[in-house]
Amino acid sequence: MIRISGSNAFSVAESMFKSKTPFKDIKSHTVTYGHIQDKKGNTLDNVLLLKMKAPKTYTKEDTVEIHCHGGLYVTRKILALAYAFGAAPAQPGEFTKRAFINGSIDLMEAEAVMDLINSQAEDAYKEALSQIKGEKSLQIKSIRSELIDLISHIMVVMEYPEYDTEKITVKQAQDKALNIADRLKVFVEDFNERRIIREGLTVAVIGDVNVGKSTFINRACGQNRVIVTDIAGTTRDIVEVKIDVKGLCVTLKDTAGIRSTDNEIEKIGIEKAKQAIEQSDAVIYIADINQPYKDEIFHYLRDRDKVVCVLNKTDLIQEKDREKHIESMEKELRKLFKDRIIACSLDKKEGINEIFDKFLDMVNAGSIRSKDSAITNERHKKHILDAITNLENTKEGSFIDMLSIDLTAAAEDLGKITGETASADIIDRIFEKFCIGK
Amino acid sequence: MKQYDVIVVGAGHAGCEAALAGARMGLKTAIFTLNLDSIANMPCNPSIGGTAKGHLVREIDALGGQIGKCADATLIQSKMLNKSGGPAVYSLRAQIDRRQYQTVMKHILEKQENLDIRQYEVTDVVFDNDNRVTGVVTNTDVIISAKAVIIATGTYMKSRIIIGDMSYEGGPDGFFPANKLSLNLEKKGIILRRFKTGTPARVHKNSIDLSKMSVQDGDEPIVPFSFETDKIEIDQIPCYLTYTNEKTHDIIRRNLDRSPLYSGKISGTGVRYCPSIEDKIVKFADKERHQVFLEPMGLMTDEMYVQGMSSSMPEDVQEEMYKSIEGMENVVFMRSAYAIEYDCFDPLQLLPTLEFKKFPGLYSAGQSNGSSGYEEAAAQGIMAGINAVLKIKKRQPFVLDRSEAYIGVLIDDLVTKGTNEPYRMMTSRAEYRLLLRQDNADERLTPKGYELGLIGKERYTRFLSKMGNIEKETDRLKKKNISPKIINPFLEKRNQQPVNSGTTEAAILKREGIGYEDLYEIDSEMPELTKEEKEQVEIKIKYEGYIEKQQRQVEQFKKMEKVLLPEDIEYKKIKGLRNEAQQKLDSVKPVSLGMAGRISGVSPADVQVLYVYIEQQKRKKRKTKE
Repeated sequence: MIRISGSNAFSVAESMFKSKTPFKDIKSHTVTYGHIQDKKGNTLDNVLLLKMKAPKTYTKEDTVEIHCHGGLYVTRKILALAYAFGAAPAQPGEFTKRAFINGSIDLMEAEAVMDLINSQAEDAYKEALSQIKGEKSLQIKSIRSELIDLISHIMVVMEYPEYDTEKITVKQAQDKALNIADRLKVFVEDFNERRIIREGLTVAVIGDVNVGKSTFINRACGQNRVIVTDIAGTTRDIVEVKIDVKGLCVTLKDTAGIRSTDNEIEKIGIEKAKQAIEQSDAVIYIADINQPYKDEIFHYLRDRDKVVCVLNKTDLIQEKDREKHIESMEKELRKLFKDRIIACSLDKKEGINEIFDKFLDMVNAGSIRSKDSAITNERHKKHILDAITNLENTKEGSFIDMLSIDLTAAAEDLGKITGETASADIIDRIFEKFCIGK
Repeated sequence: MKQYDVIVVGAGHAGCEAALAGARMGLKTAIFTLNLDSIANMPCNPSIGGTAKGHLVREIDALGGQIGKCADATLIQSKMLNKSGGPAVYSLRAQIDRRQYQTVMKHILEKQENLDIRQYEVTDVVFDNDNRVTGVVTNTDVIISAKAVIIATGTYMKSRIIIGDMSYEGGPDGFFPANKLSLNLEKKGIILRRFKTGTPARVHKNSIDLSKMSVQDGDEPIVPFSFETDKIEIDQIPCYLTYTNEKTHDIIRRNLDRSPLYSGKISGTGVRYCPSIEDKIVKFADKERHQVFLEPMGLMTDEMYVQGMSSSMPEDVQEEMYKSIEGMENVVFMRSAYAIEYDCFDPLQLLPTLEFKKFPGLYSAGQSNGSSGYEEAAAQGIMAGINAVLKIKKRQPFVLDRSEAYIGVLIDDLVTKGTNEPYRMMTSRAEYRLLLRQDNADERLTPKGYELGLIGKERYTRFLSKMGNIEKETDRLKKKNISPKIINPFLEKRNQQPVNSGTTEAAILKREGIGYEDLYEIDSEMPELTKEEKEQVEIKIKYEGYIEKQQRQVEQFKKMEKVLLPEDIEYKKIKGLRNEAQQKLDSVKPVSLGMAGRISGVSPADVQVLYVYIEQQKRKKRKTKE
């Protein structure tokens, strides 16, 4: 559910919601069926919309609630559209805060509201960090730093016009700004659309010998349309199959299970499996429910969020113990794989659909991401989009100073992600890079 | 015992403005200085204005201050800097006849009604049991009572001069230091900082071969600082430009161990904004040469200021390095370059009115607050003076916010963020600078100056008529339609894209390369306007889009500024705040939610928590009333 509150809530909703009754004629506190349409006129989702006029709402402001049908992925797209029409992401505790400020929450609850804000901010911060760790964060930092360089160059010329620092023209500054904007765009291009749909999803099939990997691939090919196969070749190599699962192109990589007393060969197999895991968007880990954990590969499944665990060969368990045994196995593995565990018998053609449904869920939820993936945190995305807009505004500037104002605004936007403030950074950079002052 | 309403300690650029504001607003005011011959002295560069600083001068003038008028009366060269950068960064800078400036300012003080000038060293401030100011103690052991005291001691508190390996107690320009005041204030609980700054040598003009240097002339016609000065017609005196070279740098590198900066003799925090030549050579080792400007100190002197060669090297090294510069081979020194270390206050102890939070009635302005520069000092001086008067008269304080003036940015930065080095005003610090132009300082501030009683009726009437003319003409141009038949030949002549349908004159003026005066060619109804009025019309129309954008940003900013935080909030008791935020808020005690958000260490979430807390308190109060 998406909630929009504030004096412009209705105009934002009106811009994206299409229904039989025009938005302005929808009665307050009624539910309307309709669809969300993006700027190009594409329907994103069929939704139920609840329109509530102030002051009889939680926040005492005009409020719209959109109940989406699609998964998290569609919800995110609708959110992004709302931002494009002028909505802003809610700050931690924002709705409750507004409810309080506007007087719909009792005085007694104020303390709880204050606690909520900082604890939610903490959560958001942690979440943000986990989504922007490593490479991506460094890239944004370095792009921002480049921007600060550009601004400080412009500013040093303006702050110290009598000094012989290298001048910078409006055109040069605009070119740099647009170049930075282009590079930022890569971050916000939507992964799911951009890559999964274009290139599909690569799934490594991992497991011991004889746990049923080949059976799984054969069954998967049997039940889905095979696009390309490369099954020929030696079993030592990784075998690739491209299949079409409900419109999504999935490449299955079969890592030949190697089990040998010869340690050297086993090592090679494990090495290959590790590589396959690294190069894939997701992993199917297949184990024999009758003897799991035995394989060393298990320890290499570090990023377990992208793993679906298949406990195969349930048909080999004695009928009377079956339910109990499955239950206890699942319980044990739940810590590691949460609900992404499927106990089945591949031989009996069970489980294939469930396995792929799990993957589709994971794609929709955004928990499967490309390695060079875009920013998925909506707040970050909004800041980057704002920065791009500000950078592109430099096209209209006729004086270098006006450019610096747009550029500084862009640096402020990126700083909201990296937690830095522009003005101090610019001045620091001026004195770091240029030799000026009487 | 003598009694005053306001006592100003120090008669530099801050002190003069503070005292004049006090007296002009009708209160009995005294200004005390260590030495009457040091009134409004410029111990460093003989110039006023420059980027951002020129804005401050115009703003002070628009409020009814003196610095702009004195500069206009005594300037010997003037330049409008940054003419290609855009109207928001045009900056006025003038070379000043330093001695003449002092004479003019001193005479203004002398003529000022309600103002006593007296040579005194103030050694202590007297408080009552509630830490309220009651007066000052002088070096002659006289206690003089006052309702407000403004400290404007510049770099004189416990100052020490450092030249190479030697140092001595001393103020700038050979004046005595004030050794007791800061110590006595520290005993009362005021937190001191130790800052450092420096100045280059003064040399004899006749010993320099100016023909080897490039001449730096002023601009004609001269644009005055003061909105009240009509025009300035003088023969301008040039400055000269030369460069350091490898030889200079070698001398410096060879002698670095004799620099107190690099041998650890100076403990004060130095200025990035006025680096010594040693600093420049060390930090920017691959720069082949550095600019050196020779600036005249006045008309009746051959002393020249050597901008760019500030140094705290020993005298023999100074002379050797100066002599390595082209045109200065035979240079004769008149005063050596020196570094100066001094006590100043941590400005975080101040309210935005520049009054000490813990000592009602005690104010501080200028370099004693950790700023640098004459203009920064004067700006704080006038604001401290105004606020001291308003407090005595029990009127609302006068605070300018960041969207109203560079003065507002300056003071907000100082009292909200503090500073670790002498603070210089910079264009980059003013986020709404398209609105804070030097050309519209009067529009922004003169009505306020009038309300305060610092701007006379006559000036105000003239101001109103100027504003009226600008508005009328701007409206006229926006409405004035013009057909393609008339405008296209005009456009083609200027290599501009012709129009297909009718347009307005305002739309034409918005184009790059078209100025207001070009419109005479196509418009016979142009009213008679002054140069300044024409300039305003042009800027207002040309940059309308940008100005509106900044105005929208300002509206956002003002929302948070308007939520005031009561003085007695106990931040440590607000549970939802993080520890760091509690401590920072408790020590700075911000006046508004906006200011709270600018304190480093206070997160946006903390600001939201505070917002809720304020609302809670308000409602509690309302409830108890019911």
